[in-house]
Amino acid sequence: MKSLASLLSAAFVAAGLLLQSFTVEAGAVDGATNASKVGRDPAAAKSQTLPERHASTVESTVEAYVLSRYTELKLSTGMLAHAVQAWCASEQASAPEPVRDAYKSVVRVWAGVDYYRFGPARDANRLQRIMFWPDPRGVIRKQVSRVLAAKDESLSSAPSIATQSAALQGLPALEQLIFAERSGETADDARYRCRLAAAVAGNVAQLSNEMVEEWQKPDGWRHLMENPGAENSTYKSEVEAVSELYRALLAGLQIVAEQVMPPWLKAAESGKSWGGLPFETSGLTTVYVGALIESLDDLGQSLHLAEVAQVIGASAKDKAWMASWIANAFASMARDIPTLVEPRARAGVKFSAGELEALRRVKFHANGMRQLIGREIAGAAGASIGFNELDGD
Amino acid sequence: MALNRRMVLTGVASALLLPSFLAQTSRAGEEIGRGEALFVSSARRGDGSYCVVIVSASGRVVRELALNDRGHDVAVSPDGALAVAFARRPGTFAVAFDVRGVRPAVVFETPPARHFYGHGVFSADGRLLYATENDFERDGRGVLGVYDVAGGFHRIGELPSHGLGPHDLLLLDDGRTICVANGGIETHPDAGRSELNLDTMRPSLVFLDSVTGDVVAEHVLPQELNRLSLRHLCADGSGKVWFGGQWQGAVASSPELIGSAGRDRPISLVEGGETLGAGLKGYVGSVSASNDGRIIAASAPKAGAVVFIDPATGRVLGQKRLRDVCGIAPASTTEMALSSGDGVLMVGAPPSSDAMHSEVPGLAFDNHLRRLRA
Repeated sequence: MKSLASLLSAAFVAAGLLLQSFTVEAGAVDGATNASKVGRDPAAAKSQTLPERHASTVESTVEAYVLSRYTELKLSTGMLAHAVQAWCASEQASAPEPVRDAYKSVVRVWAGVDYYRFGPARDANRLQRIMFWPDPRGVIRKQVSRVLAAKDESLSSAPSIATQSAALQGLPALEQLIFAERSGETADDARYRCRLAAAVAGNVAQLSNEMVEEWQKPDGWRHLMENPGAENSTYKSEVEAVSELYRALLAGLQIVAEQVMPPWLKAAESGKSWGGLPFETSGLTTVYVGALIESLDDLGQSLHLAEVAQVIGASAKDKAWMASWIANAFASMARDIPTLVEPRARAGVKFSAGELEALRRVKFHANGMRQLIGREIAGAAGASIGFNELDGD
Repeated sequence: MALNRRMVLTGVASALLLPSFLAQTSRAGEEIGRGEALFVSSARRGDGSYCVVIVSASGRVVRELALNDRGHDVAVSPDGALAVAFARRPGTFAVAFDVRGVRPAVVFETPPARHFYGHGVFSADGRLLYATENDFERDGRGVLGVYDVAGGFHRIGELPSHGLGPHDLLLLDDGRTICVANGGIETHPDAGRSELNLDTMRPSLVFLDSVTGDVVAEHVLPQELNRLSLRHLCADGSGKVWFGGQWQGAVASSPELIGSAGRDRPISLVEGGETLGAGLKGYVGSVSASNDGRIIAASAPKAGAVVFIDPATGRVLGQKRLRDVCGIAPASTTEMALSSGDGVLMVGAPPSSDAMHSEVPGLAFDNHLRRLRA
C-alpha cells in the first residue's frame, strides 16, 4: 500500500495536481504512523539532551553572535546618521559615496541580526520599524513620495519619524531617500529629502541604541538568556534559552529559503527587472543575503551543529551523511551568493541557465538546512522546538 | 448528505475527481460509525509529507488522506458525513471527503486572487460552505468564500468579513449568524506568511447574517489591545462566543489572551493576569468547548499548556501540560481530547489532570483537532 501511495503521489505530482487523496484500509497504512502505544501519561519524554552544554553554548553565543552584533549595529547606524548629516551640510543633491558606503555597512551588519525576532527586536515593534519588508504593495515608495511631495517639516526630526508608520521609519525608506533616482527635483526638494533622510537615519540609530540597552541592562535580555530558571519570566530552563537560538537560526534560513529566493527566482525566470527583494533599490540584495548566510554559519558553529550531526551519524548509519551535507551547504551558498545577479542588473534580459541554477541551489541549500536542523539537529542537540510551536497560525 | 453521483460529475469541471474509490469497501469505512470516538486533524508524517488523518481516541489511525502541502483546520458537515480540510494560509486548495471513505474525494480551489486562511464552516442545512479568504489584490480585505456543496464545491459568491486577516469562523445556534474573527493582520502571498501591518492592526469580531451578508454586530478591541490578533473561536452552552488571541508584541507585556463576546455583548477578556498572557507565551493556538458547553479549553503550544475555563464564571479551572499541544476537541459529554506536534493524543475529563495518553509515532498533529460524529 505504501508503494502504491508513493506511486500515486508521484503520478499526481507529475500531473500537476495540487493534492492527492486515497483511501487506505485500516491497518494497512504506513506502519510508522499506524502503530500506536497506549498507556498513562508518561512522567518524562525520551531524552537525548546534552544539558551540561546548554549554559555555555547560550552564553558564548549571546556574547559573540548576538550582543556583539547589536553593538556593531549601534556603531554603524550612528556612523550612517553622521554621514547623512554631513551630506545635508554639503548641499549636494545626490548622496555622496561616504553615505552610500555607510549604508552598505549597516546592511551587512543588519543581516546578522535580522533573524533575532524575539526580545528587544520584537518589543516596541523595532524589527518592523527598522526593516519594513516584505512590502508587496509598495507601501514604502508611496509613503516616501507622499512625504517628499508635501515637504512636511514636522517630519524632519528623528523623534517625529518615530511616531510615523513603520514603513517610513527604517532602512528601506532610507534606501529610497539615498539611492532612488529622482528626476525633476529642485534644489529645495533635494534639501528636504536630505533632511528627511537624516531624520530616518537618526531614528534607525536610536532604535539600535535602544536594542543594545535592552540587551545589556541588568535585568535585560542577556541576563534573561544567560540565567534561565523558575524565577525567570521568559526562560524557565536552559533548554528554553538554547531553543530560542535554534529558532533564530531557523528563522534566518526561512528568510532566505522562503522570502528572498522565491521572488528572486520568479523575477529571474520571467525576465522581470524587479523582484521585490530586500535592498533591491540600492543593489545590495546580494550583500544582504551573503552577510545573512555568513552570520548563520557562525551561529550554527556556535551551536555546535557539526558536532551534533556527527553524534547523530555515529548512532544511525543512514544519517551519517548529515554532517558533511551541512558543511557543504554553507560552503556552496558562500560560493554561489557572490555570483547571483540581481533582477535590476538584467533590465528585462532573461537569466542564463547557469545563473538560474545558482539561484535554485541557494534556495535548495537554505531550505534543506532548515528542514535538517528543524527536524533532526535541534532535537538531537537537546533543544525543544515543537511543530505547532514553531510555525502555527 | 453524502456526495452523490451527480455532484461528483458536476464537480469535475471546477474540481478534481480523485481516486479514493481504489479502496471502496475499506474496513475504515465500516469502523467509522461504531466504537470509540474518532477525530480528524491535519498532520505531518514522519517523512515530512502532509496528510489529514482520522484517528481514534486510543491513537489508532483509522484512515489518512495525503495532501501535497500543509493543511490547517477541517470543517465537518452538520450530519457528520462530509469533512473539508483546508490548506494552511496562503494555500489555495481544499479537499472535501466522505468521512467513511466510500465516495471519491473532491478537491477545489480558491479563485485566482484569493487564498484560504485555513478555516471554514458549513451552513446549518449542510448545503453551503463558508471559508475565510484573502482578497489580496484589494488591500487584503477579508472575505468569506461561499461554496455550493452539492454543486461540486463550486464557488457561488462571497461576503466581506469586514476586516483584515479573517481566520476562524463559527455558525451560531440560530443557524444563520456567523461570527468571524478578523485577526487584523494584513498578509500577501508574494510575501509568504509575513505580517505587513503590525503597527496599524485592528482586529475585530464580526457577527454576520450568512444569508444577506449584513453586519449584525461588530466588536473591536480598545486601542491599547490592537495588537491582540483575534484568531480562534468556539461557543459555550449559553451561546456566548469565546476566542483565543495571539499577541503581536513583547511576550512579557501580553494581555490576557482568552475572552468572550456576544451579538449584544462587547468583548471582555478573562481576568487571570500573567497566567493567561505571558504565561501562555502570548499565543493561543486553538480553543474548544466541551460537549456540554461547560468548559472552555484554550491551548498554548509555545507554553506547552492547555487552560480550562468555566464560561459561567470566567474562573480558571485548571491547566494541563503537554509539550507542543495545540489541537483540542470534545471527546464525550465531559471528556476532551488534546493533540500535539509529537503525535500525542490525550483524552481526559478536565479539570482533572488524569488522562488517557496515546502516541502515533512519527506523526505530528497540526494546529486543530475536530471530533467526528459517532
